[in-house]
Amino acid sequence: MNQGKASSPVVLNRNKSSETQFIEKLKKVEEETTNSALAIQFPDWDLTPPTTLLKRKRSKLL
Amino acid sequence: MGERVIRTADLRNMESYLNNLGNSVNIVAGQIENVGADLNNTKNTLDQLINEFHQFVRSDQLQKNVQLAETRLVKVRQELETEYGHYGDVRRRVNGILQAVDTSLIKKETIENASEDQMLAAPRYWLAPCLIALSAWINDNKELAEKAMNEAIRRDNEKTALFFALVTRRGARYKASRKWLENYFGLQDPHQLEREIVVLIDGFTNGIFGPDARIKCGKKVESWIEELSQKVGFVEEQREQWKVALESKSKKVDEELYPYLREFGKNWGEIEQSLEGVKLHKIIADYFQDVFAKEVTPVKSIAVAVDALLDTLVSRFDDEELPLRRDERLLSLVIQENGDQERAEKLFEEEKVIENQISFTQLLTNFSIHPEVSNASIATQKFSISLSKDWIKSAHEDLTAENRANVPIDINLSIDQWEGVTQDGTNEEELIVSINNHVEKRRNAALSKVKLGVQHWAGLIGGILFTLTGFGVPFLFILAGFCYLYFYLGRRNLRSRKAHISSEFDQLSKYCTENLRASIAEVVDYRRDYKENDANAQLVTEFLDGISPEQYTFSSFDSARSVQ
Amino acid sequence: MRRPLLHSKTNTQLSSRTESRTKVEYTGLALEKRLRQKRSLNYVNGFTQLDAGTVTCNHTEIDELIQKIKNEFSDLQPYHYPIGIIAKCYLGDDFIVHTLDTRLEIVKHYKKGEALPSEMDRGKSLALHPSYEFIEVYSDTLRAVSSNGNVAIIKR
Repeated sequence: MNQGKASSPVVLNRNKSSETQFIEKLKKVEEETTNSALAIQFPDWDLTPPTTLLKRKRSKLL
Repeated sequence: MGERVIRTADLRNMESYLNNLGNSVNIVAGQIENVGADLNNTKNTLDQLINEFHQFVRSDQLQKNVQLAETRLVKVRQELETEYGHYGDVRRRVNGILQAVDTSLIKKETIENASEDQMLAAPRYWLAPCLIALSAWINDNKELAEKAMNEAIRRDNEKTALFFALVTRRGARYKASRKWLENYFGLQDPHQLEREIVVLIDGFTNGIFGPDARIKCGKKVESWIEELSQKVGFVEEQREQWKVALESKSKKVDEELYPYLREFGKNWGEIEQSLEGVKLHKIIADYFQDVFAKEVTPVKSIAVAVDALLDTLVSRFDDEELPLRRDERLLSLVIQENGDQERAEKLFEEEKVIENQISFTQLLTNFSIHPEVSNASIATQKFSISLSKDWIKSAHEDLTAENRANVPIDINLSIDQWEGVTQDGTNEEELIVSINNHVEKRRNAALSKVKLGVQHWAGLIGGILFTLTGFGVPFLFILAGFCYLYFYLGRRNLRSRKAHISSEFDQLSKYCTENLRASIAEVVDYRRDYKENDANAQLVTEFLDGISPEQYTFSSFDSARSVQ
Repeated sequence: MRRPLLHSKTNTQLSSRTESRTKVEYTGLALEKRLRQKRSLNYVNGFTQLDAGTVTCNHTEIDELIQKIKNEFSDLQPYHYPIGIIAKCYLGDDFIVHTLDTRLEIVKHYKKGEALPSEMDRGKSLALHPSYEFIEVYSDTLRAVSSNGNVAIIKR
């Protein structure tokens, strides 16, 4: 049971506004900690990890 | 016989010889003293010499140490340059890209670095292909970027994943960042986590990597729990720790409550303990509700801490170079300390960064049970509690059962010298009768001790005797009178004493009955108090049941967005 | 999710439990873990029906109850079974609990104020509590079973 969810629209709205608040704050933090000079250099495509799952290293005790 | 007469002249001679001898002895003694003093001087001089010699040896040694260190340092540095010279180069270039503020500078750097040469120059260093991949990416060269990326992964998949997770975040490529971060978490062994993980966990639970990352990385951490739970003892340990933690929140029963049971309840200790335990349910329920009511806000300081990881990662010496780098550092210290090997080694030990790894079990305990010690953010705390909820439930259920098992069935009351037992106070009247009987018995026993003494009876008998004999001697009537008076006064005294005693026992009876009624009233209160609070155990269970792993996120929004 | 290739020795005890219900020698933590597992509904219901009988259960009914215990703990050695079960008694005003002694195989009903045998006495107030269906008595612990099969453990 998710305590956040509710059937009444009032609660939903309250949730939404707190969520939008959260997203706003997140955006603000992101802005403040982005290196904009770097950011604008990247091309359209993303460099993402290969689709085959990466395997865990052997024990690092060696 | 004449020889016995010693001539005076001979005597005088002997005397002067003896005097001379005495003088000589004195002179010799004086000379011996001088020798003694000389000896002291010699000894002091000798000690001094020895010290100076030692010092000389030592400073010579120190000098040699320095010289040796200098020579070796040169060799070590040469070796570093030959073997790992390129590593430093790679690091500089990476920083050149990451820390440049001028876009044209970045462009220039990346063009230079978008070639495969670096990979060959530092064939084992993971950062080298990362540098190329990054540069190629910025230069829009997909083929080279992917080729270099795969090479980097081959050399060290963990560090590569972390590197790109952090670089993409810094470059505002959040979708890519999340993917890399997920991979990084997936590669971790929960028994041996790097300490950075704390910052990263704080990062994703606080949304620094985006709402999707929170869910996906959260799932990876959940799988760690599953893995750790396979070992016998892991779950048990967590549960025991939670038991201790929950119990520590209990509060003592308010001093002002239950005054009568405190005084007259023989087993008040048991009653008190059961109350403390049962009131704990509400305290625990409130505690968890408070934690989860707190808002999670993305905070710049956490983002900054996450970002700082990138700089550390890049500038950190690679495992391969570490032995030489360590030698370099130690030798530099020896030179710095002018050859004092011991001191240099001590400083070196102190500088050593704690590299040991930490198990997630320990982290989990820190985050959820001792958040104030581990500086965990609220988001991480919520996350950890939700991961632990089954064990918390178990611990709480055990504590609850224990509390219930130890509720005293009988309450033993002790008032004055009377003792009685009640379970729930319904036998009040029976007990009142009992205590009244007890008081009556005591009263009777006390009263029966108050008797006329022998002297009083003697007085009566005397009176009668005198009366009888008084008929012959009228004077005896007077004596009889006194006797009767004595007897009468005795009886009057007795009566008043008895009345006094009786009234004391009246007081006692009142005291006992009042206190008994009050105690029984408190027994009823106690049972009701206990029952009401016992029902709160349910609150804790319900709350814990209600926590879903997404509870710490704004899941209605996230689940919509995470549909990808 | 990938797991380390090397298992510790203790893991094998757990894995053997999931494979088949062959008798395994559980000790220490593994035993505790097994005994904390949720009880099956069949087992739980078996004991709540104890009231339905008359004052003295006949031997077939007792055998059935003991069989229920054997089924529930079929993977354990008999000396790990509970030595007794205590449950509320609804027979009448006078009786408050009844007990099943698994070793002697008898059922006894107790009136208010009557003391239970020493090792079971601690479980009396627990058995009376509405949250628990019955209490399993062991030599060193009590295990309180709720209607949904959850088990709580009391050591002291």
